[in-house]
Amino acid sequence: MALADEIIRSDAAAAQATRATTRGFLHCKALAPSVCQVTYVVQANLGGSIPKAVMASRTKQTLGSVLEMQVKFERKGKVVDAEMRSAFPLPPPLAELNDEQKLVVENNRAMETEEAWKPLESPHPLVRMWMKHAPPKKGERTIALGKATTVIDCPALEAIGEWSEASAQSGTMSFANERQAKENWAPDQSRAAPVELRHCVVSSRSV
Amino acid sequence: MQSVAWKRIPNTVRESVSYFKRAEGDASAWGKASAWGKAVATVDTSATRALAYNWCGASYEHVALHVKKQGTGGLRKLIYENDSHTMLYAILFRVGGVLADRVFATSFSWREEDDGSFLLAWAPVKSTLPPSAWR
Repeated sequence: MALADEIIRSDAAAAQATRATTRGFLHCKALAPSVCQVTYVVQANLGGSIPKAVMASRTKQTLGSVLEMQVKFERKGKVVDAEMRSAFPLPPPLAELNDEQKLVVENNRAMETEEAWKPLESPHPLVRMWMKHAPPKKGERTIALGKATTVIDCPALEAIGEWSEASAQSGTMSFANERQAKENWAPDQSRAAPVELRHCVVSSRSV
Repeated sequence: MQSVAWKRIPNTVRESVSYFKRAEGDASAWGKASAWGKAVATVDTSATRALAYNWCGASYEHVALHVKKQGTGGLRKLIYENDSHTMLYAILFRVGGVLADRVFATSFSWREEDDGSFLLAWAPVKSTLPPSAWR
């Protein structure tokens, strides 16, 4: 007798239970020395005849193990972000970008060199700000452009790393905390996606 | 599995883990269909430690979690194949209500991928190895 059958028959409750099967995988990919991305894929076949709602509920419950892992290993957002920034790879030079990427980079760089920037009052003395409105073409809306310059005490690569990690923990948490203070959000929404809430007739904006 | 069209599970978009689902088989409310689920998350630990956490299922922590969810007395047995990356995992799930309990016998294996990531995969156990091959 195979070992699996032997084990199941050794337990009275298990011997009477319906045999179910599961298959899947867990992929752990390093993002930084102490940060990883976990992908968990599972298929469950509970055997016999069972309501689909129960099966879907059991599958979702199984997926909860990823959240348990995340909670178990959770560390301070700023520490994790610093590790992520230090592991940020050197971006590719312009020559290695594909056509679509080059187009985005070239078009957006042209925005900075254009004239007619009007100085804006900055909330911080070390940050200078400007604004301008691009003249609308026929059938288009006016587009507002903003520009800010300052000196940051970190290497350029680290700065671009910080910027690239839009979903970084500390950024998301500080955003959520700010929103929570203003809107009295529930604690379990503290990791919510950044959606700017607008009141009155202006609808919410997804950033 | 990359080409499969996954659908986000409703009302989970605000959660820190991304949850997806996919159903196949019988479309009726009752059936022998199987359900697929997927979860993606960033975990604040190394890939090695994440793998180890899932591989060492007999730890006090895992057992305590199981007891909390399923109660005591149910079958839960892990057996590692000698000198290998293979584990046999037998577990009894109490579904509740009038539905019969479910028992799983699953074989787990892990390996390091070429890019340094780790893959832990499992499938229904088919091994016919004698009990002496396991520890």
